[in-house]
Amino acid sequence: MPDLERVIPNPTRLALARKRRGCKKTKLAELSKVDLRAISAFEAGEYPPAEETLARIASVLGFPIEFFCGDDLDEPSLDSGSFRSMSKMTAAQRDMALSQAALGLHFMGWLEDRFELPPPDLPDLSREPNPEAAAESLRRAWSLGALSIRNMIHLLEAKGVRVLSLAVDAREVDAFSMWKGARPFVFLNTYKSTEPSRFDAAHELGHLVLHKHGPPQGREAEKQANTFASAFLMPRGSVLANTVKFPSYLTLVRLKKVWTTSVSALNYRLHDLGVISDWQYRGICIEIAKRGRETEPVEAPRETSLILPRVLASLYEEGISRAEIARALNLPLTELEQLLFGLAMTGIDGGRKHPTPPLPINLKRVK
Amino acid sequence: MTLPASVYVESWDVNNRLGELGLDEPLLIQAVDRGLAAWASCTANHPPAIPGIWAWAETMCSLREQLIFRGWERLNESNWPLVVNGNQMIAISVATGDEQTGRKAGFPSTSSAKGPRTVSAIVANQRQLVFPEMMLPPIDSLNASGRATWLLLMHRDKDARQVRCELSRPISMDLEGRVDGWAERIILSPRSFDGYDDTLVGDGSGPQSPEITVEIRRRA
Repeated sequence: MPDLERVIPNPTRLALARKRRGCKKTKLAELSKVDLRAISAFEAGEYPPAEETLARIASVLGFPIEFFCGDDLDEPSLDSGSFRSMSKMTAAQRDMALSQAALGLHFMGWLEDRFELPPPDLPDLSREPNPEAAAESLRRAWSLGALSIRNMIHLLEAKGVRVLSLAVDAREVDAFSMWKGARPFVFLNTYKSTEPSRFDAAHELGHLVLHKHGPPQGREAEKQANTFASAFLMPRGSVLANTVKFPSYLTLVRLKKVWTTSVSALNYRLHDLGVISDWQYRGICIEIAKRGRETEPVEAPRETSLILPRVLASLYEEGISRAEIARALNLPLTELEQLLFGLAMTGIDGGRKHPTPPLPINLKRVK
Repeated sequence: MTLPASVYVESWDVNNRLGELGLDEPLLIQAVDRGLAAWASCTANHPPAIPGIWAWAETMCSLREQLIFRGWERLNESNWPLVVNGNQMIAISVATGDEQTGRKAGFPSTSSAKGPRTVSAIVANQRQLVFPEMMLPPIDSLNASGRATWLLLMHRDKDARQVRCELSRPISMDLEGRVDGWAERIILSPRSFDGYDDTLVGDGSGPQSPEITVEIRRRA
């Protein structure tokens, strides 16, 4: 236990932990048997909770007491990032996602103190009014030609984007991206299947390059990011070279493997490029609906992180397990695991059993 | 005529020799990569010869774009594209090589027959070999007898999924007009083109972008 002689919690961290749990003040008051006005006062910094009150709050929220005593964490605000389905999300879901992003920035800051990760290499395409052209410019800048993207997460990471998981188990929350200074971040809902998740990643990449300066919100920005993602994942030349004139639903199931996109994304793209008529497009939409939009046929293998398993393995070799990382960050281990969920294999016992297989890589010490 | 060439393989040796020519490996590799990117931008709708031609053209263009900044000049001798250094003593062109290209102990040839301009360049290269027994004529002796023409040879090895390349100084041709003898061969690092593929799609898997590797360093 830390020296609790006089623990003065940081009010912003109290609020952050509560929002992370999707917990209203009334609910927290009820669960921790604290007066609602007191909870508000603690979070407003009017006066601090007594030690045992704080201990109760900490235990209800599932955060270590030490977490509440740190400095302010960078909390992404609504206009620093972009949510794809902002309108469909509840305020609580949004707060959960934003507060998880705050913990993600905290964790990444800690990692970057220890590792030199790839520097950002994203051109600013905010002056390009046409998202399709922006996708083409980015492909040119990255020498991708008309090739299909093998792995979206690896590509983002190699270009200096930090990718973390957004473990909010709600379909409304799909992905989120933001610039923190010169550093781009993408949070992906890794509960999703591979194809839609790749589209989310490309969509967020669109926001990062198209909307760096303005708050990327509103339907227009979302539409731009969707067009960008569609063109980035399925370049025009490659689609026209690989498609057939009268594809059926089953043709699309076969064809989609070329770009690892969902049937519906490919259907949309084919229609967009004039390969199929409105009538064909609608027919395939109906086929997709009949089979259920939730399940993607013939799902591709899941994409994981290139960077996170390596840095975790490297730390583990130094004797720093995930549990120790969580302790260093004053976070519950589950929070760390959720940031890594689906990106690096998550251990059930706190990473003590070497959850990521050791990789044959040489990590060089700088000094 | 097949003279054993002086082959540079080790990176210090390669860099040393390239340095003498006013070149460096990253510059040449960047040109090769530009060709790879051009290849990658082609689809099954392009005529079959185009990916190779575009790759060749873009590699040449990149060489010129980079070297002109270093005082070299663009030169088209009867449509034969070259880039020539400031004192007109070194010229480079780009050519496709056979599968021996980039192999340390290989005997590469250009994959196609070359034109009269290449022939005269090779004759000029031969003249510079005043003492053929001297495997490595010093730069100065080359200067005395005219321009030395080098070829940036590239070969796409589909099985190994790499582009092997070398910068080599040709001195002979076979009867069909393919360049097949070299005074010097500077072997460059091969480029992986995992994914940069010209195979047509049909079985459901398309040409994909290369596997990515990233460098991560542990801070002290």
